[in-house]
Amino acid sequence: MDGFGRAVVGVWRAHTVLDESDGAESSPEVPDRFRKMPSSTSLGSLRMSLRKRLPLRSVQANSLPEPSTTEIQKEQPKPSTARKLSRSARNSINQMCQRFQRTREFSREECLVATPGRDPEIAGASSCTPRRTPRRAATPRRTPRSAAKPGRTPGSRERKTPEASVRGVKTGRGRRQLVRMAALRSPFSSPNTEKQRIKFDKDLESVSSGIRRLKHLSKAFDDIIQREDRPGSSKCPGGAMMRKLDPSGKLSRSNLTRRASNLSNTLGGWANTAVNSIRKPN
Amino acid sequence: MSGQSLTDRIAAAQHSMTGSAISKAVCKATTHEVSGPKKKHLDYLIHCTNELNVSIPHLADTLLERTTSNSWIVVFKALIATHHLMMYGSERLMQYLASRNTLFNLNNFLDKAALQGYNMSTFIRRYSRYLNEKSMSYRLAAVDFTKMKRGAEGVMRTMNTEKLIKTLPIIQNQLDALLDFQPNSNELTNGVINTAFMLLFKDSIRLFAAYNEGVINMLGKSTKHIINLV
Repeated sequence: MDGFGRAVVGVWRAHTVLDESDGAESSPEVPDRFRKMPSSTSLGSLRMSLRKRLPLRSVQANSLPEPSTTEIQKEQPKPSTARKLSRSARNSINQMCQRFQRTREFSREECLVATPGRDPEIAGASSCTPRRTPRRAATPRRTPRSAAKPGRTPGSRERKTPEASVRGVKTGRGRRQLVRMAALRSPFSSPNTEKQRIKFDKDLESVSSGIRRLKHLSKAFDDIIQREDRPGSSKCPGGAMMRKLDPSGKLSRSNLTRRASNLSNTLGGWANTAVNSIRKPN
Repeated sequence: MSGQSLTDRIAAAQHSMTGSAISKAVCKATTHEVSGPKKKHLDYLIHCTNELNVSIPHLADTLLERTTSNSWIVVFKALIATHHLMMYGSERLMQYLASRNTLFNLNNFLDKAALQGYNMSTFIRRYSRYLNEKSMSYRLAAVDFTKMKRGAEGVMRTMNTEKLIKTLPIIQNQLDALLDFQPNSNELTNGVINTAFMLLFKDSIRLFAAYNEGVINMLGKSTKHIINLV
């Protein structure tokens, strides 16, 4: 930092001398793209300001330049000290930029979750809030086993994650630890612990029993429809259906009638209330 | 010919004189008699849909013309006849009805003249909405869910995931439109609404069976994904 500071100060001092002596006429022609580029950070502005001043190669640090044309100034070789200074400034700036990028990428990894609908590069560019809401995350991708198989979890295809940007970054153990921690905490992670495994098995069991019930129901429906489609079965279309669907009689006519009458009474009550409330203002 | 009004008889006589058997059958199936369309007239119409020399657009337009009547009985019976033909008639009729941009425009139907006009008008609006949804489903999925093959080798059980995701909402919408009919037991008081109710009930069974199979397929696939992950 000290060498960098000295280089920056030295270069700036040299340029301030130039500004006082030369005036606007001898100022170098700066490309427009450098003028127009915005820089939000101080480092970025420093970079751009140094870049703007780089074409000034004919400048000597200790001597005032002659009031000659810019072409003569460009043709003259740059003095070694100024060159050294600019080189050292450039190197230090590059190092600083790299360090800054690494820190930003690390903080992006801490987030682990991309805001839905945002590009991970844009999310990384702006300030990333470390939201650890596992429901939103494509955390199934982050488990060690599933890391090699992306896109197989339900809904993972639709969500963008910062993993694409994270994959290319090779950092040390810190990132992996964070990923493992998030994976263990996520409800979609593989059931490593015994308790989670038991719960997962129970859930699977309930799903499979539900599927079995639905299949049984489907078979019952198919039988009813086949019976109905047979010729001569149109005499009593509803009875066979009802008997098959409801062998216990819960859906019997009397039961249905009772429920329908209860429902109609309730709805009738609502209708009366509505009518009375409309009549009241009159 | 008991129960038919003078208007019905005159109309039937006119059609028989012009030689339009289809129009006569449609007219006889949608009389002002407060009972469901007669089986013989519906069977004749079903037979017509299977005949190659019969114009399906003409048949459909004749039925749709009857829905422009002011009487709730005629309109309801025309809807019932259309539904019956959709279920049991040739698929050409279903294809033609699905190809039309608008089918039944009865969202504002109201019969104030008759005794049960108000109540039945509500059911007419709901029924027409269901039939529109049914033809829209056919248009979107290119298949009649109430007639498709079922079982372990059925269409919904063997459908791929992508198509299943698109098809299940279509079935859901049709089922929702069907359930919106919402008849109460004390409203099933005449033969017309009872006939409509029976047709809807049969459709509901078939629709639910198709939906059930789609859900079984979807659950099976998602469970396999989860097991592979673990």
